[in-house]
Amino acid sequence: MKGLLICPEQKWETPGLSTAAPLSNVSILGKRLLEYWIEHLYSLGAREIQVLAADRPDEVRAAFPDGLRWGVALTILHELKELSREEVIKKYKHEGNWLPAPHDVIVIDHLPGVPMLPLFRSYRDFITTQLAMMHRFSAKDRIGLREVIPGVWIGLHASIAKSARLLSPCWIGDHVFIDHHAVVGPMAIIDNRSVVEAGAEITHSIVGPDTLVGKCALLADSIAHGSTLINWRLESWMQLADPFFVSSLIKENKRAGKARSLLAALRPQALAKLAKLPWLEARRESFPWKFNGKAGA
Amino acid sequence: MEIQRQGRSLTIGGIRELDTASAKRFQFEIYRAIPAGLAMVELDLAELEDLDSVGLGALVSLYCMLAGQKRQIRVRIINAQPAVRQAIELARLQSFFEIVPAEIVPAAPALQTS
Repeated sequence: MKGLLICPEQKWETPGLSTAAPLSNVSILGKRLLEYWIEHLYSLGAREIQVLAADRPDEVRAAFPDGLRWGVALTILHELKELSREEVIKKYKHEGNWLPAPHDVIVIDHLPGVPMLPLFRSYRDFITTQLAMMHRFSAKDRIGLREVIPGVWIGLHASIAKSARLLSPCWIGDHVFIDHHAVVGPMAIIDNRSVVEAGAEITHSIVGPDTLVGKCALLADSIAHGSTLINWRLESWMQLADPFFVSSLIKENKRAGKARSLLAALRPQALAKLAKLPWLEARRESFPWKFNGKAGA
Repeated sequence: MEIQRQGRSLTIGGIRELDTASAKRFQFEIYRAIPAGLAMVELDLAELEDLDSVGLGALVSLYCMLAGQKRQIRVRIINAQPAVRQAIELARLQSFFEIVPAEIVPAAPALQTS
């Protein structure tokens, strides 16, 4: 069966959420919004899913190159503007075996099963929905996620210092690092691969994926995503000019990746040089393992 | 940057940027304008658009110079945009400065007396 998902465009009410990535790629409790919807359509029986993206379709395509992971045929289509459900039905729904309405064409501006909780109408809605869904999404289909004390969820490979305080309710994603004397919660979500440095305090806030919260920073009533800082209570946002208290970790990852690839490229040459060293040549016969492509004596 | 003196208080307004490029000049101009016997410095940040870590450092430096040691001059921030307030709060500087939102800026008695 077929299904079609309409990705929301940038919203004037919540411009800060779409600075780093299109809204369909926004991470919600450790997963991208589009992932929730692909899984939902799969559970309804869809095996062919089309995604209409008006905002940065290349980024959507890069994040979701195919549907192999979900066992579906996934196609990302580009539209110049966000079409309404009726327009999409007129334009795309011609033939084939489609999911029954209203699951055939869906605008993904909310999480599956909760249309009454919109995500992008305001920053307050964005955080309220996530805090409300924390319990529901944490209970199933998350490998390694566990509720260590009532209302406190910790993801896979998360590292939390003994002196850090976790106040319920809070949700900590995979590969998160929380340093000494940090305070997380109440009402806090730390998304995957984020780092909270020593003495930082996060309350009533969301820290997006790959985000660093610096030493002793106080993050209250905020949504920090990379270098974007939103105050959901005041409905204001800003782009931090320099990485001092909140910054993105993605650049660092890229640098580390470059360094790794450089090392990988240099390794054969370095080994070849090492192989020519006289002291190593002398000891080479004692090596039982293969060296420089040749077996030891 | 506009600096106005009213009795024992100094109001500094028209600050559009407080970043790496302008922080030194900001500090220098304020230090130069501070007279003896000052009781309060009001920073009107209504027009502030660019603020970075160096700018926050300049605010801390200003606080240390005015309120620290024996001088004890009050430093008040008025009309700060929500984003500016958020940056100040993120750095936990709200405990040093008296931050007054735009809608409730009372006329301080010290301002009216000469």
